[in-house]
Amino acid sequence: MIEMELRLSWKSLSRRTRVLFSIGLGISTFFLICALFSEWIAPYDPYEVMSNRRLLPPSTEHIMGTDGVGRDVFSRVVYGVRVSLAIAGVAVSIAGGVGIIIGPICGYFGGIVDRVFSIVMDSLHAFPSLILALTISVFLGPGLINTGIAISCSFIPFFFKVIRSVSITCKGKLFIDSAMVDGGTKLYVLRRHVIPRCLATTLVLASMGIVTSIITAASLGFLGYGVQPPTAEWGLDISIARTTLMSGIWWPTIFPGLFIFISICGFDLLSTSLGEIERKL
Amino acid sequence: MKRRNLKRLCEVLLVRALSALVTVVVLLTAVFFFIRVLPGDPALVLVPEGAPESVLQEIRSSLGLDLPIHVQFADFMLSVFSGNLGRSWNFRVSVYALVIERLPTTIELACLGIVFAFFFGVVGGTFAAKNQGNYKNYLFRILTLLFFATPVFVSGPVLQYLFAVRWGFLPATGRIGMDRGYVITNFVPIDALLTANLRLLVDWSSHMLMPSVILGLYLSATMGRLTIAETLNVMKEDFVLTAQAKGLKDNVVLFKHVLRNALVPIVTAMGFQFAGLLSGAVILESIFNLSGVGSLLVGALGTRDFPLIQGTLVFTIIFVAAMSIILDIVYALIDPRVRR
Repeated sequence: MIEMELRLSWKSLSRRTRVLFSIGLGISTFFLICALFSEWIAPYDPYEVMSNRRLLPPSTEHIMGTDGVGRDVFSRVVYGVRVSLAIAGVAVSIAGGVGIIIGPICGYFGGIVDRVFSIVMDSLHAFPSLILALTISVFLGPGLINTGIAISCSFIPFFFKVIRSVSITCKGKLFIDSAMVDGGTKLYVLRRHVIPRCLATTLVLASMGIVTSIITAASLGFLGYGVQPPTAEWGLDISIARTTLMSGIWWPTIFPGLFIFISICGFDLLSTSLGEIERKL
Repeated sequence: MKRRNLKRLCEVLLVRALSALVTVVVLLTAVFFFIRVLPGDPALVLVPEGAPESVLQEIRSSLGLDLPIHVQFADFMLSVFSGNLGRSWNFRVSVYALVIERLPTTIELACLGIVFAFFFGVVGGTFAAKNQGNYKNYLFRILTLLFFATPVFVSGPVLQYLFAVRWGFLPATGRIGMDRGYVITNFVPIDALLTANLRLLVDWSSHMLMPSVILGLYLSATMGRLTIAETLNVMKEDFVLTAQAKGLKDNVVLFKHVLRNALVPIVTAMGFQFAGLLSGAVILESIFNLSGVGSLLVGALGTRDFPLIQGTLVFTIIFVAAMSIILDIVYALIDPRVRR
């Protein structure tokens, strides 16, 4: 793309954005490494039941202790990163893929299709996203991919609305007009100019989607309708550990919770700073 | 308010009510198709496994599932708008009665949640914006990130353990822990006030305090961020300078001039927050054993109680639409420009 001159450089960003972006990227990279190399990082098999080591407090042997059936909490938490990010990946790619195709088509072409899609998406956006994801995931059945699909359904309205509004702003732009004058068909302009222009926004949306997806996936797991046991999933582990928490055994609840917390902080910082960078484009 | 203004207000509300109706119809259609198009045959839930096909067919026809889809759709819409949502398979009572019985708990939780969220998010955010650049601002920003990143299903059990089990300050679960006495409405606080039953009010507050604060804090994160951004925008305006030049006190300028103008986009965002509020309520109801609509839905999904799932979703839709209309009224009250 020649017409979109990249005015962006590391130095042009404010100090605050640079700091936030670095922290966010650092934490996200850490989680990505956890997800890719779970086998090497986790000291134990997350599914291995050590019945003589139930509810052991954190020690050098089990740095996050063991849970109610004697599984190593640290290993489960590390494998949980993989599950969470896999669900997020499925959800974000489906929602992003649908959004980047339907959004520009509706926003750029307009007309009756756009009106209908906008009304439907606006309505769906007003509906509580967790309840939407919950209902769809129950009907699709449990499992990682299905949970991802269910969560993506709750993203699509938001993705669609934002991407559509970006592609509308293309309408009056000179580079669009010049492409049309050059003899490009509407479809060609859409494919070569409008959709690429929405890519940066989609990327920001995707990073926001990862944050929401981590929360939603864990919520579904917590309610018992996401990934099923014995899969190592944070929300699921917390819901199981809740009963032992009431007798003061905090480690099987706190450590998965802490990982959710850090991952959300990290990906949120990343998406906030990406949003600030995108506004500079 | 002048008569002309009132007329304009009514027009605005009528338009908004119509668009809310469109939302309701679209969402009802979505619910209808979700339940029928998505996999999961209701007939299979009702019979033991391995039942002959003829039995399944019989059940499908008794449920009206063998009718053409447009006939089913018309039936569904008619029954929703006539308030007949069928009978729950599991509870064997009318879905309508079940939901109406459970709804007040959810509404109480949601209202308290939004009040706390407003207090922490909007009032706190305004102060944070005023203290731009000093430690109070950073403290607030860090707190909002903290609240945002702690899911309710982590903070819920932890606080429940600390405050209820460990220290015993607050009751762990439930909506009230005593006999309600004379029931007038289904809302405990209204009943308590009407019958001047102070003990009931205190009991109810102590039960609802933890879930609603957790819900409020979670929502306040998004609202706090938005408030800071909007307040800072408004602070740049000339009329703020004018107000300061008139010698008004800082807080008067902040709350009467700045916040009132910043509130418009915040209230708009709050409309979408109601959806988040219900999502949070679903989880909190199951943690704190509150028998609201959220826990009803979660239970119904578990037992595949189709009429009940459908019914709770329909009520959620109506709740969301009603909230958006209420919000429009609030909108018109805080911003006279909407009325004009």
